[in-house]
Amino acid sequence: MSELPGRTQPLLEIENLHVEYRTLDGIVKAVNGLNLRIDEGKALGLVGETGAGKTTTALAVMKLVPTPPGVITAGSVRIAGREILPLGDAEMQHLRGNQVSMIFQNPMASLNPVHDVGSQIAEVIRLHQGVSPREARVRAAGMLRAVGIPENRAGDFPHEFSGGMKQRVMIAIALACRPRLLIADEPTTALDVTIQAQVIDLIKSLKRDYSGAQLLITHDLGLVAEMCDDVAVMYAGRVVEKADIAELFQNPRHPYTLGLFGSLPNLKKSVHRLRSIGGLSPDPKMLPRGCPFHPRCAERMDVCTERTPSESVVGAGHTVCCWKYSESGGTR
Amino acid sequence: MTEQLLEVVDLVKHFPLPRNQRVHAVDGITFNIAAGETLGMVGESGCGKTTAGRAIVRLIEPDRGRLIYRGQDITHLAGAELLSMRRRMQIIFQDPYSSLDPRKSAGQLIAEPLLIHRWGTRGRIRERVRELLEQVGLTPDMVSKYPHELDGGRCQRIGIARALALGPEFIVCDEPVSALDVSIQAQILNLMKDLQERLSLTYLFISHNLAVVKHISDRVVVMYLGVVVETAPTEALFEDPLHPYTQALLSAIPIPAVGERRSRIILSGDVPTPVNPGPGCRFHKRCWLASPVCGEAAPKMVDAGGGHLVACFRVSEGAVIQ
Repeated sequence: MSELPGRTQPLLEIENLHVEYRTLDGIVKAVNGLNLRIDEGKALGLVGETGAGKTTTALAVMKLVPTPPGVITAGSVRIAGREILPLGDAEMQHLRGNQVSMIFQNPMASLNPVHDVGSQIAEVIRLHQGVSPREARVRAAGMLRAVGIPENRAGDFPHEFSGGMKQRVMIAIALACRPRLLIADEPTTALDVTIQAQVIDLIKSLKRDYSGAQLLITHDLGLVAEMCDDVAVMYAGRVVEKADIAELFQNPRHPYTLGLFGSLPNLKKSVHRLRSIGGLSPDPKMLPRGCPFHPRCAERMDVCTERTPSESVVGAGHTVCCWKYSESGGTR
Repeated sequence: MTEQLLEVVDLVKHFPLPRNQRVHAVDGITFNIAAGETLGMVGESGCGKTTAGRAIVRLIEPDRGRLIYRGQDITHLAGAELLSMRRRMQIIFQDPYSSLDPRKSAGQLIAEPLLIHRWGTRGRIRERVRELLEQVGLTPDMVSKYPHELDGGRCQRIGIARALALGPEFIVCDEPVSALDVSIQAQILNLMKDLQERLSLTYLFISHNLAVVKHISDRVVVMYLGVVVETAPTEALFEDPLHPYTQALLSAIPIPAVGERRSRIILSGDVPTPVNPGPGCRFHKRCWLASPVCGEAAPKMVDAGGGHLVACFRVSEGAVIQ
């Protein structure tokens, strides 16, 4: 990856990651040569539609890709400079919670219904930090307070909380060991807008105190504008465009990114018809030759159907994988 | 003014719970829908929008209130009369996967309403199915596909074709694009707009997504906990929301643009439960502007001018009571 002067050391660095699921119906190529980096103190938004490989990427960073059928076939994932893919279960166990932690999409399905929330938070602290059960319980109460839940509710069970409160508990669990990297996979998708606003506010305010960097996975460009410093747009298992948010939102280049913006109904100005993208996301079992977006692309050229474009630099820290920009911007 | 297609008058639907509790799902809502317009209905989960939509097309029986369709009271229609009414009003459901019978092919699914209503001979039905497929942007070879072979966007197109089959003039669209990805969502929204123009349809468009509602609606109804808190033409509602809940709702939407810092209103607490709500304004417990009167009586809907109606004591003090 291009090393820009003056940038801090990356906390997360993913290079050429390939993940596939070997199913009875064929090989699902979920992630296909993904490159990504997040610097210390930054929040990166990973945007894309269903099946783009966002969640698989996150699971690979946690080394939680379900195996079988999932296999990480190639690539490198470094957290704070340390390569994690060769690590064994025990070492990963130590890394999870302390170095990297994840908030899952559906808080209703991710909490254990038969344990009270206090002990679910305490469990994480006990496992990853090796403190006594009593100490873990005290710290768990402190975490509840940090996410805005009164301590005296530590003995309550998940069903006694609303959706927004459950997501707060999930956040408390994820941040309990002060991880350096927090991954949030669609953290507010299951929530109503007014509750979503509360949770966004909470994650933003906790970022300073609890975690160095964040990877926010979402399909909502609005959330990214609200919460992130940088954005990476994913399509068919690859990052097709990345830049800081000001650059990407003002100057999107990849035809898919442009299509995404055109598809969004705008609250500020009215349009009669949305500029939608025709067609469907490709089946990851049968990815098209060349650029995976070419069947839906209005600006398709001959080369697009033949060869996969590599990253072109189109601006400061702004890269695009598209043949349209491969000469003008200069390839790597 | 254009002709009113549907008048909803003080519609109530409660669901009983054990121990004499009641879920006040829809608690006296009143609004009109003009012929040819799209009325958006927004609100968070549990505010009663789906119950309202279903009660309006008589899929569930309202407890009280009246539904006037083109001047005719349809609240208590039954049997053959109800069946013939159903040709004129249809519904599109939220989840395109679970609302389609997985054992029927696209062709059978679209033909189903035609068969139920004895629409015509087999030959004519086959022809109509072909016509409908084309209208919703599906290719003729889709006729033999089953829902599991199709993606969400195509399934929703089948749902739309089913709703259109009998040539209705009014369609309740209950979160029709919520389960879809943005690029597919845009395709379906464009399709729905095109169909509305071509077939002069009237929509009640229910959604929690304010950007989508703004895009498609002429007027918007905002619901909170079973009641309507504000109704206005779309522009007026988004430019100048009057009810504190609407203001909070609008300010909470993350906007996909940078450099637009807005003052945010973050509501504390959760949406309260619609089980046995107390007296007073439904919103007063989360409202940062509430005064003692808000906890005592429910505010009446007042006209703030230009068809902008709002139920809030702060507005009603200075406004003309309707």
